[in-house]
Amino acid sequence: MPEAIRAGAWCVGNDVKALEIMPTRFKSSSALSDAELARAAFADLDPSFSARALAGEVGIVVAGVNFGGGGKTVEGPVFALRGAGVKLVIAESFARYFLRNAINNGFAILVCEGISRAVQTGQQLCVDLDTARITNLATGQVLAATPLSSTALEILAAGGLVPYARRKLAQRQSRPA
Amino acid sequence: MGMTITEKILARAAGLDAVAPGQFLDCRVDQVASMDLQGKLVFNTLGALGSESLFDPRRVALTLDHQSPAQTVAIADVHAAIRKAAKKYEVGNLFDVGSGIMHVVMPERGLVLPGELVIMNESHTPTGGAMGAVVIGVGQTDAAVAAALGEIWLVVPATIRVNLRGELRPGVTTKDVALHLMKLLGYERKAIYKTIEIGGPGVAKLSMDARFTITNYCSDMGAKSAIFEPDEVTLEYAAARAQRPFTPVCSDVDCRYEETIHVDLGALEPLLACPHALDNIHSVASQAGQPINEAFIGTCTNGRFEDLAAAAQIVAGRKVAPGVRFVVVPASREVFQRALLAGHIATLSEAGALVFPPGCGPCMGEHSGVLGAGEVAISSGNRNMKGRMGSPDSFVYLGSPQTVAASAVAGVIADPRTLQPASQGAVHA
Repeated sequence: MPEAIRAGAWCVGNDVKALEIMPTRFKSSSALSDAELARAAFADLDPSFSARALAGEVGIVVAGVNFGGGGKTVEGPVFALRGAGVKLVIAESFARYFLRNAINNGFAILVCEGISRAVQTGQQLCVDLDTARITNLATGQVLAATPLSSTALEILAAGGLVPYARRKLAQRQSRPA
Repeated sequence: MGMTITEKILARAAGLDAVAPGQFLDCRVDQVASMDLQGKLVFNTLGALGSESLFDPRRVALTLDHQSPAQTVAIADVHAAIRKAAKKYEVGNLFDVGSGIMHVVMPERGLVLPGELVIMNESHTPTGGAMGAVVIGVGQTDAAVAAALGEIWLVVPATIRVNLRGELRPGVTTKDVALHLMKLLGYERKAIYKTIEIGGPGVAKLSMDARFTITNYCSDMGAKSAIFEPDEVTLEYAAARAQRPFTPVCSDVDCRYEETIHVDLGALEPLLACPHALDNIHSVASQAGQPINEAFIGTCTNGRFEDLAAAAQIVAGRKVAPGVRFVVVPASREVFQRALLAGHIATLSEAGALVFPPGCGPCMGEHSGVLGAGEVAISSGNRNMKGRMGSPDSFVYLGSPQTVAASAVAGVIADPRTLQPASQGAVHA
């Protein structure tokens, strides 16, 4: 069972596009390490973000609706956030490809109605992924996010879809027919 | 509270009694398919997973359609690698070069059936939802894992309901319905992550060919899937082709819709998506007279039998305008053969059309009639972004096959309802 995630919140608005999470000029990202990509995270939206995230001051991105849209198969934005040390994104809703790319790459997300009104940048949050319970330690408010399925949690724990599926296949193939 | 058809299909696939939008599910899939652009990557990932076999080879399919027949040596090598890997993994259905486009071939071959959950590795995957199935597009990693495990994790989408009523007027088609919906919902805007469910009293008179055109176009509205509730038309089509038993389902009367859109079919007119955006929608009448260099009928949107038949009827007894290339690409071998037997291919050829073998044709701008700088095309396809069909300095208008055929003989964009009667000849059959 994973430990609860405790970190400072960083709030962004509605409809933050994939290219705002990671601007186009960092697109040759496939050759970059997560640490190098970290500089790209929200580089145009707020140039101070990556320094504050890398310093551990903030670690949970809180977003409005439709986070991460506009790019279908580009996984760079997920890598940029992870590289900056972001542990989790909580949003009112996600663009489909960002959500799949995040979980399939072992990067945690939660969908939580009302989150953008309940949290302000800098407030400390405590999040239990297993129960999808979010506690705002600054206000004491507790919010219930949409629970992830057991498989989504296992994929996150395994570090992504490929290692998860590899392990599951190995278990099946070692089982006597 | 009742469930929508999509919620019911996902609940069944997840082994649950009920599901709601936003819920994460672990689903069993009924069918997985990939194609030539990504098939090799799917097999590479299968190798990386250590998978020696597929969850069920009869339920995995591949189509060689986008780059078919191979136009370069490198592509021929990719096709060869896919054939070799498909043999190794005993893939049940490899639809090789000339078979046609996956979104047309899969339902034709009875591999997308009412009530099923199907995963396909291509952007126009929602097309198959016209069968009353939940058909969802994914990337190559998801496709490989689904092919190996027979499982996929999914989030239940909210549903936008589209109610069709009335009847299309002559010269107006479901392509114009699709373009009208694109105008309302926008290119990847209001429908992102949602499913679009099409129903209402106007559906009963629409053929399967006509329905696939609407679900196809929902892809670029950003929808996760699109679906028609199955009726007699669907069941007759499916019964003749099904490769396995299936259980159709429909939406409950008290289900939840996030939004309901009403469309009066009788009020629509022929429409176009104008350069360079899919949701830059204008009436054909307002664009009439725009000179064209190429007219293209084909693709997973409008390359089906009825599309070729309608085009043949318009060009019968006429000639393609001087200076215009009229490219026709049947969407599948079945479409090609039916059109041959019905005489439509002869009619199109006599009018001056270039008829290519089944596949995606020049839609993606790689072969079979790409555009040069400054050239203008009118296409029955689904994408008109800058450079989509060739030169970044070319222009693509998207319309119905009737509008494309009328424009081919007029040499300029033309409303099919305004053509004067042909001077000679007749439609074959």
